[in-house]
Amino acid sequence: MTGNYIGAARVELLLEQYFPKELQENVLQCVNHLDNGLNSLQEIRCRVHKPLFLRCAQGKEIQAIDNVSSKQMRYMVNRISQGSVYAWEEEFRRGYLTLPGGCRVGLTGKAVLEQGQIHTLTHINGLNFRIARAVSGAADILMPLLYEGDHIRNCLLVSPPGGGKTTMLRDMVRQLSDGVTVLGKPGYTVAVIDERSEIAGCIQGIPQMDVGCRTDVLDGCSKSDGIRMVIRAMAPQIIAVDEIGTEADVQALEEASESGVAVFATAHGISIEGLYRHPVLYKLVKGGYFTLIVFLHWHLGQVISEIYLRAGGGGYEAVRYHSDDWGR
Amino acid sequence: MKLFGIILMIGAGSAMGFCKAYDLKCRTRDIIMLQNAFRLLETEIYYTRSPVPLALETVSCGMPDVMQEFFRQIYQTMEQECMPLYQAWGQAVHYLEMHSCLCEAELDAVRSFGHSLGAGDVQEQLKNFQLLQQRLQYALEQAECCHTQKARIWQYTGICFSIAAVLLMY
Repeated sequence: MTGNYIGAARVELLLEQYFPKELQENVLQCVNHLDNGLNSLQEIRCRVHKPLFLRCAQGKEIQAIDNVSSKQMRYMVNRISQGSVYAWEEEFRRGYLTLPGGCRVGLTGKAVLEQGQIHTLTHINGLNFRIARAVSGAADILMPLLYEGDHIRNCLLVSPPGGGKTTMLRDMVRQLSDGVTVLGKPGYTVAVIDERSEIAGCIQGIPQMDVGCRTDVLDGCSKSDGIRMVIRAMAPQIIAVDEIGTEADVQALEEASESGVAVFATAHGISIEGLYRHPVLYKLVKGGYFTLIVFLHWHLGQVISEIYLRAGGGGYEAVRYHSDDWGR
Repeated sequence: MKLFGIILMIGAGSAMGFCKAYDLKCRTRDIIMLQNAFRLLETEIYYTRSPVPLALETVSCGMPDVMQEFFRQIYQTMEQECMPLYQAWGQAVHYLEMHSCLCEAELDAVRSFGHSLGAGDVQEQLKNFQLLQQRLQYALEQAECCHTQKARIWQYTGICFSIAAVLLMY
């Protein structure tokens, strides 16, 4: 994946705002050895009485020397929740919350159950700070493939967690919304259903990431409800959703497609065969719902894309590509 | 000159007694001020589910200066110095101690309330607020009782001691 990373300032702010002084120094010492410094940081994992782990964009993992103490964990939980767990009840119940700037923090701890359902998490023992990065140009290579005449193809981005799906999706949304002048394409009205506030990173409804000038963001809403809502209310030409995987998602996507709206979605997976075996997504793949399926994975520090286009017979065939082919 | 000295001594002694009596009255007033401020905060947290810094900022408008400053110090310290709530709260209680007539009983109630504020779900917060109000109500009853019993004593003591001192001297 190429492009301009603007993550360093965001990581510095993240450290300053949410980490105790000692852990800030720990992280900075660790990233000093990296070529891109803070830019390459993708995740910071903190576990009580365990060392801090940093994961870089190239898949490299760095272990800090010092352990994270209970006091430091309490400090971080207090900072990320603004000392107000009650205000983030839903987020604690789901196990993650989004910070200003779009970074997501995953939480583990003791689950409190009510009638068999998770009510909230207490005694937080692990935090995973996932650094949101706006990589301008991340989707450049895909842009020409997204157009089919004046229509936009339904596209599915697939990768394991941390593979760059959301970053790619965000850039696709931004470019399609603003219009791609290099290809002579106008801007489209895009609706983003951002259930986990990861795509646009909304804080109090305001997107923190650049998602384009013709993009409407429905933040914190379930994908199935959100898709139906935006089709009725906002008349989008494209709908973008992150991490589909339930029956309700599939049903809503099918309804969207019947309404003539193009859909961009992401899902976890590693291969086309895996998608055919997926308990829910196989329906979409077998039915040829997505015209374009893109697999992203890291190889020798770079994101490699495997692109499949729907073939005439209903199956998918791999597309050979090179960035120069698109004249960009 | 002697008359001036006598008036000065009696005046000073009486003023000390009256001041002490006024402090007892102020304690009652300040506890009521705390109760009202925390009722507003409770409503803000319960109905709007705003995070503590935002809730403090919202309810601080229109409050007595001491409470306004107490709340302002908390949310500003949290935002500007990146301090967790429990630490910012502890620091601000010092301000309350210095700038009000509150005694250790109610200050301790406020201090311990700060340790659990925001640390659980909204139902826990409600219980926490109820506990604080109960402790403040108990402190208020104590303060009123103390005021009724001791205010006049301090006033008379001030006057009597100053007169006795004058008589002894002359």
